[in-house]
Amino acid sequence: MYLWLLAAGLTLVFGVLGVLNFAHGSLFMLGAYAAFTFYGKLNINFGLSILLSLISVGIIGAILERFFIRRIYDLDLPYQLILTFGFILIFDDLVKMVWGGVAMIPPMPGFLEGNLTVLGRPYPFYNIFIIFAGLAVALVLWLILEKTWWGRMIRASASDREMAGAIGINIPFLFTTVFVLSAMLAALGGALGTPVRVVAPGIGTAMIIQAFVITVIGGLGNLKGAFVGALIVGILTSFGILLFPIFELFIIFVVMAIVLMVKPEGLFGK
Amino acid sequence: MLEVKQISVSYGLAPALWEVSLSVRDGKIVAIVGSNGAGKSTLMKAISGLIHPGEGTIEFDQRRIDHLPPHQVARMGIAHVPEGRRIFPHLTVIENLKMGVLPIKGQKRAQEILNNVFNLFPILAERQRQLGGTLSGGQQQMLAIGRGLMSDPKILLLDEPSLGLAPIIVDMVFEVITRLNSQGQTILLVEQNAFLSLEVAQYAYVLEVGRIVLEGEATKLIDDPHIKKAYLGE
Repeated sequence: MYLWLLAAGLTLVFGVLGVLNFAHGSLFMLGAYAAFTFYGKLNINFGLSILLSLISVGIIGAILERFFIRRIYDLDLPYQLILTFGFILIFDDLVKMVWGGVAMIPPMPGFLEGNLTVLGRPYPFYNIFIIFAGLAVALVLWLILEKTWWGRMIRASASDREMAGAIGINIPFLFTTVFVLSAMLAALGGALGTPVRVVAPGIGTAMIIQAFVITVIGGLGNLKGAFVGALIVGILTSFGILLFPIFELFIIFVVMAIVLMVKPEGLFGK
Repeated sequence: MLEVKQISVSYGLAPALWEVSLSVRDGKIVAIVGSNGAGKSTLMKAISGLIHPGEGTIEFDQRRIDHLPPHQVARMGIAHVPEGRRIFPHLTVIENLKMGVLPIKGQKRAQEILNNVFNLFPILAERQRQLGGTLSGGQQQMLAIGRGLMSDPKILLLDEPSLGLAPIIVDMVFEVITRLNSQGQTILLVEQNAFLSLEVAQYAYVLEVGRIVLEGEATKLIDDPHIKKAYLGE
């Protein structure tokens, strides 16, 4: 489900802005650090900490889009990769400077501790909470895109940017809002993950590779594809760890390769 | 209302428009006639802000618009119905139309305009929930014009509305153009079909390889020997 949140933002930005944002994983990492700081260090209420993390990373996203990403919309993919990859390095080092290079684990919020017994096995409450959070985000995203004015503008700009501008949509501003939304999704993934995962520099990079695989499997720029892709990759990874621990990552790349061979545009691609 | 003064546009080193000037007065249909590649679409794009002229000025309601981004030009009251229609294929008909409404107009006014568009094009009302991409060419052209009208524009820029349509549909589209004009809509029309556009327009310009070579009352241009030879096939 963290992967879904990450992949959703990645695919949204690619679909609408046409930019493949490799620094997306860094926003995930920043979300994790922000939540760790607000919740683990400053002892702010868990829900509020997550909200604050979203806002902080959203602001970083706005700055990133407004001053950097905006300049590369019309450039080829390799230039986009160079810029966004550069940001991965910058953010990783910034994080080391501010929080240090040691991995940290914040405490678990009390009300989400404990286990639920499913089919005779214990299942942590926190995982269930994450699953529902992921589903809720999927529902909200779908509602936004299909039912709101903003969503209509996003879909129209994704299909014909020039035309959307010609009928009065403020494209630069709209793109900033989409990028901020995507940054917040990444941050939500990072923030929700803090109590069960380590917070360390570089966690974003590990995640972005998987998120990228997910979006490729599902079809770049397609949200439904990202959701299904995240489920596939999540399940494969879990079984992979269980059955062939050495080949865990290998399996999802095999699946990606098969999808690319059979349907190069991805499962839900156009 | 619209004054284009001496604009020049080039794509890289290739000039597309050379010191083109034209003016459109309130309530008129003005046509720009010319063959493929004469620079007609470039001129339209320059007016709606999709490209910016290298030289010259464009004024609309006494304000310079030649360096505004397209969404601001649209909000001033210029609606561009582009060549090839360019509707949003994955949005429904009603969604396409609602995209055309500017955020500055009120709900009530938007509903009035929508009713007017449905009045002009009853087929769009019937197919409200259908995806834009599944409409026929003629219906897509109507949708594109309808979307342009939704912004309640002071001037409607129509780029090649007859392109790729069956003759009977072309007649329908031109009937609508005349009807809109009789309701007071100012229109700048770009067409390869010189005869039809000179019939509906009051004034016209002839554009050849990026320059205005001729202009005048449409009724007079129809009888001009050069026009007859080059565009009317006589």
